[in-house]
Amino acid sequence: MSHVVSISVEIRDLQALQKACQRLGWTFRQGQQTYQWFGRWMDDSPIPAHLFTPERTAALQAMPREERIAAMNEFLGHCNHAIAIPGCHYEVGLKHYGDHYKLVWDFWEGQMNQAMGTGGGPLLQAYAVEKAKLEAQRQGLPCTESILEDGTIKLQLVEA
Amino acid sequence: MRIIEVTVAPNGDISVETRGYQGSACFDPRITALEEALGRLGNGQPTDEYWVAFTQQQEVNA
Repeated sequence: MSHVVSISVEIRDLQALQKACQRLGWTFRQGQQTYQWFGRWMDDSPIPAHLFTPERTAALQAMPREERIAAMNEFLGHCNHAIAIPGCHYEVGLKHYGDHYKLVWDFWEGQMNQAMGTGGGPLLQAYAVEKAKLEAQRQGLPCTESILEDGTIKLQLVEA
Repeated sequence: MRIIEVTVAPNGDISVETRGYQGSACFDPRITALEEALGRLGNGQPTDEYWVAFTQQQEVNA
């Protein structure tokens, strides 16, 4: 069937992630258990809900301030892998959730904010492209890449 | 020629479009493997090409 499917990218493949980092000129630090950030939850921004279940987010929001700060300080700064970005003091952490990883970073550093964009777009895009290319290679399908003016990347996998 | 086109937006959103896959190729496991490898699947829509093939099949069956 000829069809169109939309997909929300999920980071599951560390080889593809490593290639994504190389593509961006970043450094993947496999197995690094901490990532650089401000080091203290100031409680002056919303709880990063994508890192928690809705129930946990609600519980954190309902906590007394000091208790919430302690919980967030315990949670943040720890990861399964990390990514270093040239020119940034802070790092990106990857936290393992079931079959995939979620990205966590401190947006307060301007350089980091610029590199990661809104929602980590540049890294997610690079990962998706590299993952698709690896899958094409695995299936023996030739793959060509083109970059459109708006930054969208198109891959064509051709089956003769 | 059969083509799988993967489009990745700057925010990481992905769309996969297949062209030239008709009839029994509709459940090609390699396409499914690619789609599932990339992430969580959203809605899928058949393309016009699918409906052409579907209509032709209906006419054959009639």
